[in-house]
Amino acid sequence: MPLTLEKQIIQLQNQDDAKTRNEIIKAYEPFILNTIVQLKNAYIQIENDEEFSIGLLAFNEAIDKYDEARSSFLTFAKVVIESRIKNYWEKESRHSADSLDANQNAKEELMAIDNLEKTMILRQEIHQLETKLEIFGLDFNKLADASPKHRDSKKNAIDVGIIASKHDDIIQKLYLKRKLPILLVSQKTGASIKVVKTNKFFIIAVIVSIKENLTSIMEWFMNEN
Amino acid sequence: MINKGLLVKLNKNDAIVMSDHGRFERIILRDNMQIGMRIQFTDDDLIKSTHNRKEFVMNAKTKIISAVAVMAIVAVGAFGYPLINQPNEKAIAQVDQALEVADVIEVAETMNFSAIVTVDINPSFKLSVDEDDKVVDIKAMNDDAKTIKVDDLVGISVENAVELIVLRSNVAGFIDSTDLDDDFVLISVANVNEEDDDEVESEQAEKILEAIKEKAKESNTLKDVTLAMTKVDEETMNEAEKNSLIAGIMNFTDSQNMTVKEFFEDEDNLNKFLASNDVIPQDIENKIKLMSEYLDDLDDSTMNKETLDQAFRASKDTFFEAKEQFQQANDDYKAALESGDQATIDEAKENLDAAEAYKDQMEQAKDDVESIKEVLKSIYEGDDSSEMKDQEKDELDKIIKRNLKEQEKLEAEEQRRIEKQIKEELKREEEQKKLEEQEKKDEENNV
Repeated sequence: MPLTLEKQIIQLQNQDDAKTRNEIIKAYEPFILNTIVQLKNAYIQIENDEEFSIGLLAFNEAIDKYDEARSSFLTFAKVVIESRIKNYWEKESRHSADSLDANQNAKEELMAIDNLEKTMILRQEIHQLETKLEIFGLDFNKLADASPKHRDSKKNAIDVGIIASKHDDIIQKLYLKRKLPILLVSQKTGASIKVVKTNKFFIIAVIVSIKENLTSIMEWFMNEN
Repeated sequence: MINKGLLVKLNKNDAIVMSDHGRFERIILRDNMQIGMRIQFTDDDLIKSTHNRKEFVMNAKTKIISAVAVMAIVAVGAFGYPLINQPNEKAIAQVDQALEVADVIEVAETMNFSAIVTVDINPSFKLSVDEDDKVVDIKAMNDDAKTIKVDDLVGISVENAVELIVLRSNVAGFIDSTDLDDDFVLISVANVNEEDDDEVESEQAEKILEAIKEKAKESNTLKDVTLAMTKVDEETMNEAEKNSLIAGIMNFTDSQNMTVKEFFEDEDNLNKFLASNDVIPQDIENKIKLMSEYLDDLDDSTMNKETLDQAFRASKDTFFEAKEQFQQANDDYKAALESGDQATIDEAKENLDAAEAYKDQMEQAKDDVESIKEVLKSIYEGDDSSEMKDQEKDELDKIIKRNLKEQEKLEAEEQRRIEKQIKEELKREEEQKKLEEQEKKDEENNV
């Protein structure tokens, strides 16, 4: 029978095992993220993940400090994480008033500006994409509703879109009929008809992004893979 | 799993991200969101349905069994071991059924269907199914069907939905599974073609029929009935709906108001149907086997009473122990009063109060166990049609509420204690840091 989380934590306290510890932390990363996000009621941005690091440290701390007599480990861990995050916020607000390290502040500001710039560029491209997708009767809401439930073949959809965009006959038919020529796409890309059918809206979005030269969005598709 | 997402749209009630798996997801709206932002999110942030509410289907019995299970878990704290050791198979099956239904809570966000399945017994249902064979919509097609709850079946696989429809029709009395007559369930499946996909003929209808056949091999519910299965085309399906006919038999008979039962009673019809379709007869051996097992179960229900008796005795012992402790604390308090020493008196009073509270708690717990025993007894000995008395239901509700409240109180106290501890620790750390900085400054000054 598998051990409960609480038992595993106690075991780690008695005899630390880096592998198990890391596995547990990794497994509960979503929990840690959720705890912070719910505390803030805001999402954590990818470039600003200082808070997440603190959350990880706090979770690790909770592993060391958990007492068997307490209620569930996760309840305990949640409180530790929230306390550490709140503490970090207090320090941050005091920090900006102090400006002890001008260099550090400048660096952070530059990064923030960089980030903002990137956001603005992406926003422009996203609006352009939205406009272009209207031609096909598509909008982001429709794309969200049509997203298939299973986790599998999604990476394929991006690849299919990229390859498809290189074939002029596919592009012609697409813009002419305002619909994805499923059979043709399947033939030219090697993807099964089922995959093409299931992801047809997304594939259209990829093709349009490529054709309209929305490079930042393209970067997003490719990098985060 | 932590996902990365690019925010592409902000709606009134949600936001849409393009995730790093190349999917567009709806997520919960939070503060400070801007289009173009790149964020991290988890499955908990996903919005799975436009309703976001979970609906459970439980008949009275299942509700009670689940409630008792909750009680048992809550009461474990007091007694140290579970009260229900070897639950009745049937009870488990019903809880499982409730859980299976409750498990699948995704309501499809779109009428994105690629096949239609109609189930005709006497109640008639129309199920719209998507490409993954999941039900995205269910419609009751006649008055009898409207009496059966089906809205919670949206989101589950079509074969499971069919099984549950048959089960509920059985429970509702539209099928009599205790006799050995044939109860026909007609299942008709049609592919729905979109205009631009007529290059490719879907094989989904066959797939669905196969899935149902497979399910029928292992499902007691489906083995109890005679399954007539047929594939029809989309036009037939649409015509049937328009004229309130039954799609599966429309092409075999001209009669307008024939029920499935009437149709198959006529051997000619049956043979015509069989010529191009499958009929899976009910599994009579299985039925007889199940019925005798159920009868055996009833006899075995004394086993469960024994376990409960044990728990009851244990709770009684604990209660008597608590009572003794209370007596002792009372005596100590009296002695303290005589000694006249205020400190001793205060301490003794504190102990007395604690002992009394504990005694009351244990007494309550003992009574609770006794009540549970009574409830379980009536369930195991009762038959399907008997309903729990309202009074007993109220009792059980009260017990559960009370236990949950206490649980919440304990957890809140625990929470507060931990927070206090951490605050103190943080303070100490701060002070430590300040001391170190001060030391550093002193050193620099001296140099």
